Amino acid sequence: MLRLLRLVCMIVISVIALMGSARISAQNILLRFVPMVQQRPLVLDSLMYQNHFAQLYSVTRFRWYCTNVRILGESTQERIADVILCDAEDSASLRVSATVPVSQGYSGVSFVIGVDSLRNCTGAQEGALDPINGMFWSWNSGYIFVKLEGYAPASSAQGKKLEYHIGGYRPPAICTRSVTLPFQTISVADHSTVQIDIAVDVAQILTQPHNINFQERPVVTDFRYAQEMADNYQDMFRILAIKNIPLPR
Amino acid sequence: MNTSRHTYSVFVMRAVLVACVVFGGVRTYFLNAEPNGDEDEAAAARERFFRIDSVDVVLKYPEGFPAPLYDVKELRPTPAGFVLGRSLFYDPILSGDYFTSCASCHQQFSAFAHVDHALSHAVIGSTGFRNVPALQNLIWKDAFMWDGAINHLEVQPLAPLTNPIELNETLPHVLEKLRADSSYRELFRRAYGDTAITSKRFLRALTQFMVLMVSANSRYDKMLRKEVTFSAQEEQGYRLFQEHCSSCHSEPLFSDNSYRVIGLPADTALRDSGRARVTGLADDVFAFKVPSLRNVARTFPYMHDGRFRSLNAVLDFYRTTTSLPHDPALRSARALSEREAQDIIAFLGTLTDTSFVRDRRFADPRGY
Repeated sequence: MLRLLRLVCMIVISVIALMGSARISAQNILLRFVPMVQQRPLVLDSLMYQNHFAQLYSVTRFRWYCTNVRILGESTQERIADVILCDAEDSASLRVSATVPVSQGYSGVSFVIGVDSLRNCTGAQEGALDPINGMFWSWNSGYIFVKLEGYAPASSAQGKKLEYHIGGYRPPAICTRSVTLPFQTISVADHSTVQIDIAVDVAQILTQPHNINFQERPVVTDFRYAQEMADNYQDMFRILAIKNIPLPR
Repeated sequence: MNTSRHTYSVFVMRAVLVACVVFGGVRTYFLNAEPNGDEDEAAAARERFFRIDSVDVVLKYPEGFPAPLYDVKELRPTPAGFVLGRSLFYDPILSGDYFTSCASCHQQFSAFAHVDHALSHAVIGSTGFRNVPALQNLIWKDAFMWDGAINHLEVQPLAPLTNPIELNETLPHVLEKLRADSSYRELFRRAYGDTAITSKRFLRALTQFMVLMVSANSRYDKMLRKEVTFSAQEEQGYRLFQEHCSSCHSEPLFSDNSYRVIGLPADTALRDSGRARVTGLADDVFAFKVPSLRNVARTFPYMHDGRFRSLNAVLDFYRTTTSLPHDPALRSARALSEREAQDIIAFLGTLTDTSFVRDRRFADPRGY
C-alpha cells in the first residue's frame, strides 16, 4: 500500500516537473526601441539639437505606430506584434516581447510605420488603437502615424512650437512606410532571449530627402506635406545591437 | 335623575363623538390620498414612456432599402446599451462648459437637425461654420459630415466632442467625468456588466442610440406600401422629382452619398472648401455631400451653410442659370416653371415622417 502511494507521488511530482519545465519557453525575442537624435540618446525637453539648417530645437513628445512587426527567416516571417504604439516618454512601450519558433536562421526584422487602411476604418478600437491615446484625428478620421512635437527659436509658429502630426491612409496622403532591417544571421532558442536594439532617430524625420526648415515649416498636421515627411521617417530606424540574454532557470 | 338613561345618553354622545372623529380621520385620509394617487400614476406613465425593452432595440430594415453599410449585428444593441447612449446624447456633461449636449444642436422635432439655425453653435458664445445635418438612416451612410471627413459611425461623436466651437472637450477628460459620476458607473454596469468606462464602450453606446434612428414611415413610404394615395399635386411633384432631382437625391434614401458642386456662390466669410478639405483635389473644391431629403420640411434652413430659409428659395436657386462651375445633372431643373416648383415642394412635404420625430425612444429622458 505504501509502495503504491510512493509510486503515485513520484508520478505526480514528475508530471508537475515536466509541466514546469515546458513552461520555461518564455518570450525569446525582445525588441527594444531606443529614441535617439543622430548618435546620442534622445533627451526630452532639452534645447540642444540642431537640424540640417543649424536651427536649434528640443523634443517634447515623440510617438509612433509600428504594425505587422515580424522577424524574417530564410523563407518565413514570424509574427512579433500586430500593432504597437511607442512613446519616447514611456519606456515600457519601447520594449516589445514575443515568442517565435526556434530557428538558427533569422536575418532581419520588418514592420510598417503607421496603420493600414483597414484598421483606420474600423471605428472605435481598444489597446494601442484606442483613440484615447491621442493618436487619432477626430476631425478627419484616421490615425496619426508619427507625432513629433517640440520647440525651436527659429519656428514661425505660435509659441515657437514644432508640431508634426503625420498620418493618412488614403489619397491625398498615404503615409504608411515599410521598413526592413537586415542583420547577420542569428539563432533564436527557447532558453534565452535575443534582444534586438533598434535606434529610432528623430533627426531623420527632419532631413533626407526633405530638409525641414523650422521657419518655413514648423507645423504639418494635415495632408499638405505629409507624404514628404513620411519619406523622411522611412529611414529613421536602424539596428543598434543584438544581444543574447539567457533566461533565469 | 334616572341614572340608567343618563348613562345611556352619555354613552350615545361619546359614541357619536368617537364616530365623528373616526369618520373625519378616514375622510381626511382619503381626501389626501387622491393627489398621491395621481403622482404615482404620472410617475408610472413616465416610466412606461421612457422604458426601453428588447423589442425597442430590434432594428427593422425597411423594405426596398439597400444593405446597410454599418454592421449592426456586430454592435448588438441592447436595452441597457441604448439607454446609456440616450443618456449620453442628452447630457451636457459631455461639454467643456457643462451646458451643451449633442441634443443642443440635434433636436428630435427637427429630425435631429437644428431648425431655424443656419450654422451650428454650441459652447457659449461660439458659432460654427456649417449647418447641422439631420440624424436619420445613418447606417446607410459611408461617411459623415458635409465633407465626409468621418469614415465610421462609431468615431463620429469624437468630431463635435473635441471641436473647440462645439462641445470643446477631450476624450480623456469626458471619460474622467463619467467615471466620477455614480449614476454613469451604474448605467455602464447595466450595459456592459462592469463599471469600466472605456472609450470603446462610450462610443459604441452612443452608436447604439444612433443606429436605431431609422426614418422610413413618411407619407411617401406609406404611398409606396399602398397605405395612402398622393394628391394630384403630390403625384405630379413626385414625377417631376424623379425626372429632375433623383440623379443625386436618389430613392429610397434620397441621397446617393456623393459629393457635388452645385454652383452655390462661395461664402467669402466662411471660405469652406468642402470635400477638398479631405481629398485635396481641385475638382472637390466647394463640393459637399448630397444630404438626404427625408424630413426636409422640418430641417430648414438649407445647404451646408444654411443659406436658404425655405424650399422656395432652394427651388429658385435650382431654376436660376449660373456661370459658376456646377454638376451637369442640374441643367434640366433650370427649365422648371413656378408651378412645377410648387409641385415638387408639395412632394417634398410627403417625406416628413412624424412617427420618427415623435418616436418616444429618442425623446429626452430628462422629461421636459
